[in-house]
Amino acid sequence: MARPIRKLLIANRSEIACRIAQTAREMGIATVAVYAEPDAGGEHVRACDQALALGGASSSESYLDIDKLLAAARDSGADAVHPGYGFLAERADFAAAVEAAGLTFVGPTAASIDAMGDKIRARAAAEASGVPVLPSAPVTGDGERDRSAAGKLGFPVLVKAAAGGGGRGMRRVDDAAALSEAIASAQREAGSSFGDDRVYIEKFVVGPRHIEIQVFGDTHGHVVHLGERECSVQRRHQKIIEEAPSPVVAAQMRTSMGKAAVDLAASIGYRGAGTVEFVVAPDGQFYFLEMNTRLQVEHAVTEAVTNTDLVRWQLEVAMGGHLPEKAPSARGHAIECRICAEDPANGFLPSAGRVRRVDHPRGVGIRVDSALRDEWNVPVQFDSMLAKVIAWAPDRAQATRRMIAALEAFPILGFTTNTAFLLELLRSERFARAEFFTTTLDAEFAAWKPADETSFDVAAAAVAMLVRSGRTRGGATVKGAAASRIAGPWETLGAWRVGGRA
Amino acid sequence: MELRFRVGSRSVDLVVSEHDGRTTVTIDGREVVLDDVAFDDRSVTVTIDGVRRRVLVDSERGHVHAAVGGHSFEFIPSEEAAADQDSARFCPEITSPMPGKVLAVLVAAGDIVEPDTALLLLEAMKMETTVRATHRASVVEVRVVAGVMVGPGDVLLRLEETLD
Repeated sequence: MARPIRKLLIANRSEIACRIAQTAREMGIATVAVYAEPDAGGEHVRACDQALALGGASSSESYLDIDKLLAAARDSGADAVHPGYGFLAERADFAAAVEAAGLTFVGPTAASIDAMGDKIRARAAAEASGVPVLPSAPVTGDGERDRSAAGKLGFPVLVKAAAGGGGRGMRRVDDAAALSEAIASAQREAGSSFGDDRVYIEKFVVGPRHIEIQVFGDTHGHVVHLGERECSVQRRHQKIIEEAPSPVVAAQMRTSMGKAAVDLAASIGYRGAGTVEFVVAPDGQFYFLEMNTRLQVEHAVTEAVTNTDLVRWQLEVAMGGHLPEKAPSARGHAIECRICAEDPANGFLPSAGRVRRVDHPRGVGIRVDSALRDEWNVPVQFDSMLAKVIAWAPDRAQATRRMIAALEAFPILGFTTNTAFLLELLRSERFARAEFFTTTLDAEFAAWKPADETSFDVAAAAVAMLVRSGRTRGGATVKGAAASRIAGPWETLGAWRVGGRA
Repeated sequence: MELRFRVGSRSVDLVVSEHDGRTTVTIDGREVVLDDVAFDDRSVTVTIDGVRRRVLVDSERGHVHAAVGGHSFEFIPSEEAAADQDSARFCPEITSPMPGKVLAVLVAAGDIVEPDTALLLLEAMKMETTVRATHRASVVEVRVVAGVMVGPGDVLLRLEETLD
């Protein structure tokens, strides 16, 4: 059973590939990166000992192409594959193909992924383990029957993809008239994101919180949990701020949620890192949402409060190691912010482009998982998440202040990101009181505009001083090109330079 | 020294003046006194009211980019910037609001579209965005097909206003 890993192929990209490579390196495991064409100069390519081109510009031609990944593993002599998150991390056929090729899959068995990756079957397994679930109905394709089934559940309902996660292929529907379009749109998005367009309908909890339990199993039948994460600050089902512990979970609730999560994982003989997600109603009742059979983006907040390295745990479990009898309990408070290439003042449209310059925050209690660097062209083909910042402090208020200072020290020059939006959320009274439901951002912040005039004034002053100093490189070019136009600021600059500096 | 820029849809006047060795930048009439200014090859550090803040800067073809406090601004010399687009006005060209891929074209030349009619589906970073009509109009020309990549500002469709 126990089989050492000497060389690990990381079937992923960007910050998570870098993060996995770091732990592998610490453990003396050689690392192999793979990359699509737009990622040829990517940070993860540099972070690994070896890098193999997959070819192709899209996900389906690269990070989702099982044959290419297996060929890369074979060509590089890797003996194990870590899927990271997203892409193939929850594809049972990938796990099975990796194992069939004689390699170790750093994750659960194909059977576990199958059982939990399909949300319809996962619900059944949760029910069988005594975990509470929400009422639901299948999508039949017959519009009349679907509207009637949704009506019986009672609107609002949620149309959900049976596969995948991360909020893709999900639509909230408030009345019967909107159901068919929502189903079609969810099916399209699910099809393009997961290659599986099945969707179903579930009752929607009004005033929902998203709270999840990190579980871990080893190959000796032992399952532990590492407490909860609160992920209610979401936009269109995409988490943007996560924290641990949850400000609304008391010890008794933690115990019952933890037990439910461990019971479910144990019932399917789960191995490796997994997350059991719950929707929590305002009365504190929790319902099974889904189980993610992989590492989560927000695993870092759990690592911060439990003082663990969950990628190390994954690799040790994959090598047949034993988990500790009892997982460490949380101390202090950790918050994670996802920095995304989205313009919050413009409907959160993607805003990828060239990172002209970037500075990363650092210091006590700050962790930054990032694949950004100066002059990096962020590809539009992949996810909009650029980096994640994690702040740990002894309590929530201090962690919040630490995060604010960190985000202020994380300028990304070249295109708009959601950082200013995150800062405003963190500074809000509502965040201080932890009064976010998963629906709050969509309901109250959809038309958000930046209110931060101070940053604008500071930028304007800096630009004025830069121009006056004659340090801008572009001025002369514009002056030449604009010779036939009326004098503008750059001509003024030229004249000023001719005049010389006092 | 007087400068005029456009930042997004906003016009900005900057006036730099010096009195008694102190530099003041007037930003649209607001006076900001700089206690100190320092440069390095990638940033300008300004101290205002005793608070020191570092601004990452870069310039290209006369445009100055500046990032601070979670914002990234592009200062465009104003004579170069396009005139204000009145958002309520009919615009005959439907342009891409972002870089991405055209997933589907939902209309054809000759179609009459109403306000809010879905015209195209775009996808970037795995999220779908619907481009909708803002006015009643007829479709004159479809410039893209499903599957092509487009950049921000690329013309997707041309429309002609149609009155009732």
